[in-house]
Amino acid sequence: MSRSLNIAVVGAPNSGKTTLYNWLTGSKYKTVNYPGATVEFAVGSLNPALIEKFQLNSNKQIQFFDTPGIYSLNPKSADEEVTYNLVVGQQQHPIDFVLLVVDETQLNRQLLIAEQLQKSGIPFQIIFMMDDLASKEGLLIQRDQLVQSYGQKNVLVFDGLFGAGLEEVLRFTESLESQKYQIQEIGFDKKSLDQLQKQAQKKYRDFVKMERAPSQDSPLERTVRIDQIVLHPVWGLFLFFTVMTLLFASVYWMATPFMDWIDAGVSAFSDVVKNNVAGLAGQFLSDGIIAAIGGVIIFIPQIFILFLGIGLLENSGYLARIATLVDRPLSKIGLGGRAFVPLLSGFACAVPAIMATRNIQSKKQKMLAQFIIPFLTCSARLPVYGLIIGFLFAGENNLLSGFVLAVLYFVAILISAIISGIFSRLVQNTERPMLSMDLPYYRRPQFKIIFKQSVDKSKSFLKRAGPVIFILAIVLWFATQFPRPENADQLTSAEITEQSYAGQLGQKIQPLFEPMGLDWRAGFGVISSFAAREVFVSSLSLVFNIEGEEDAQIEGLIKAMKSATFQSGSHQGEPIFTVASSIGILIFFMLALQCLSTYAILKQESGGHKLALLQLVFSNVFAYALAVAVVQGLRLIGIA
Amino acid sequence: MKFENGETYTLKNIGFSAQHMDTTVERLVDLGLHPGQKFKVLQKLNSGKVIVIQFEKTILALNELEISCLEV
Repeated sequence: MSRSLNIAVVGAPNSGKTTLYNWLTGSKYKTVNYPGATVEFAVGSLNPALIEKFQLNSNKQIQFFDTPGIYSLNPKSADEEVTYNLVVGQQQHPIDFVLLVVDETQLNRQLLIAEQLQKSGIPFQIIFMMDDLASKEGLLIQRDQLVQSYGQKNVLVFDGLFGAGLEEVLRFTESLESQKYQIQEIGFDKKSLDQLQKQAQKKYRDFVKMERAPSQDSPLERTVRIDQIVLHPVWGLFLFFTVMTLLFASVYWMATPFMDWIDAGVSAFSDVVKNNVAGLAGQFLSDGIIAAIGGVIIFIPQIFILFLGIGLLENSGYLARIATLVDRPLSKIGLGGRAFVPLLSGFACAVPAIMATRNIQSKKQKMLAQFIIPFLTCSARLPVYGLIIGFLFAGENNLLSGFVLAVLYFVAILISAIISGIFSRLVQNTERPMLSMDLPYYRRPQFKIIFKQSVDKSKSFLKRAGPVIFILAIVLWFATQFPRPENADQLTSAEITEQSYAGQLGQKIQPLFEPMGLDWRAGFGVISSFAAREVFVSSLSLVFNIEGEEDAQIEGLIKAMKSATFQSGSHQGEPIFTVASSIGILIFFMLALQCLSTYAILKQESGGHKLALLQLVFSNVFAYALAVAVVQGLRLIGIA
Repeated sequence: MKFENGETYTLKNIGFSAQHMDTTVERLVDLGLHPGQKFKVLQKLNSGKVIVIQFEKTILALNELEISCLEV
């Protein structure tokens, strides 16, 4: 059987590669509006629906490769190397052909890649994108002559929004044959690069003309006007802090009503199961499985709103401005503007965020960013924060709760900045970081697409966390219910749990958690969260025997936390969850690396265990020490 | 070289005063800057440590190191 036809979709950042790739393969990859969005190539087969719709040759296997954006075939960062290695190095997959996606408004610089591809002997076809924007800018592009200058016969124009031109692109790709190309020249020195740039500029002057003045709604003019405010040294920073505060606080404000509904629904379902399934099986289903799953899905509204907010910022083109605004402040702590987008992604999940550091050219900056990303408030921390904030304010003051959540985000940022600042001074490096940030035109966010992507990401969060939590829920339930005492019928749930495996283990580790103001049950919750942070909530539900007959699950847990006291030791009879110990829990969860996936990606991206181990040990020791110090400090000043 | 907000400059050379910054110079060339290119300074941020320039239909933010490579 002959191998598939492999086509790489290549182009500068923001040129529309991923959009074309999504149309061709039917994928739903995120398309964003800042450089460095794609850091790894994606592979997809031609969408079968298109084969049927356009009656294409169904025997031909075509695979498309969506690649990270490049400005030239001289890679400067790890993500650009991914494209270079695929197209020039022919690593992993033999590429047969390149579709070079160009933004018609940026031909003055995007033709350089065309020159390099031609000189290297790599067969390619230009795909013109964003012709509507070029038209609004008053540009007249003699496309036929331009493509002829590269020996191409087809003029392919594609509209990423409506898909016009898709059939022509498909017919063209169908006509291609699998044939591995021979590279004629690789590596372009400055002299050669200058020469190629001159050729590209000549073609730009020859084939791209200003036909008329830009239209009233010229995207460039509009962008320049908006940037007067957005990039203003004072108003720009004010806007930045306002947007970030609103984003983080709205995660709490907007999600609360939805969370209340879910909580009540899960509780009602748990009651129905308990009332209809007798004995231990009923307890297992309601207090074990349903409570554990409920403890995770309740936080989906917060996670969804966070993804939605970040998606809107990405899609509008605002992120690249923030990166520009914060370049200088970040340089004080050894980072730069290019680190901003990976850092912001860290608020959703550390795993893609650490991968996004490939966009940073400087090795030192990249390492620092990788090291501090796990300190940022990822979505997995939200369930813990939600519970503790709910405990502290008991849903009485949503405004204050939202504000506290925003403060937690900012404190995490501040601590990350301090750590980065200290580490950057310890790491000797003469490299001077680059910014060279492309500022894309502003565009109205495609809300429908962002909404759908946020739904997909929330589902993916559930899929990732769900199985782990399900298995742990079973393990934890057994650990809190067995060994079963002979007189179990005469004992309360709390007494059974105290004699259980979890109880026995918890009491052994209680001395470790007492300085944090916690007893063995809360300590057991902290230990179980090392499998996944979100498990903290469900393990607390189990060790505190939340049955949810009268209240919703989380409400019930909060009620139990309020009345929980130390059962033994020097603090016997004293409340466990106080303001001080709650702050201690928040601090511990804010700083500790408790995620196996993050450890694995740190190891992969940094090229070994060294950085990942350093993060794991440093963050946990630091988190524990700071939590203990704050709890004890608060107690000293009379805050229990 | 101090660049002023709203002023238009013509690039004479890239990297004239730059030492050991081949990568930076190459990146500026990749981004479309070349001798003879006119550009306008749209914004100066952080006391001129970062500038935002426009040339053709492109808007670009450059830091201190990159600015030092521009001879006008």
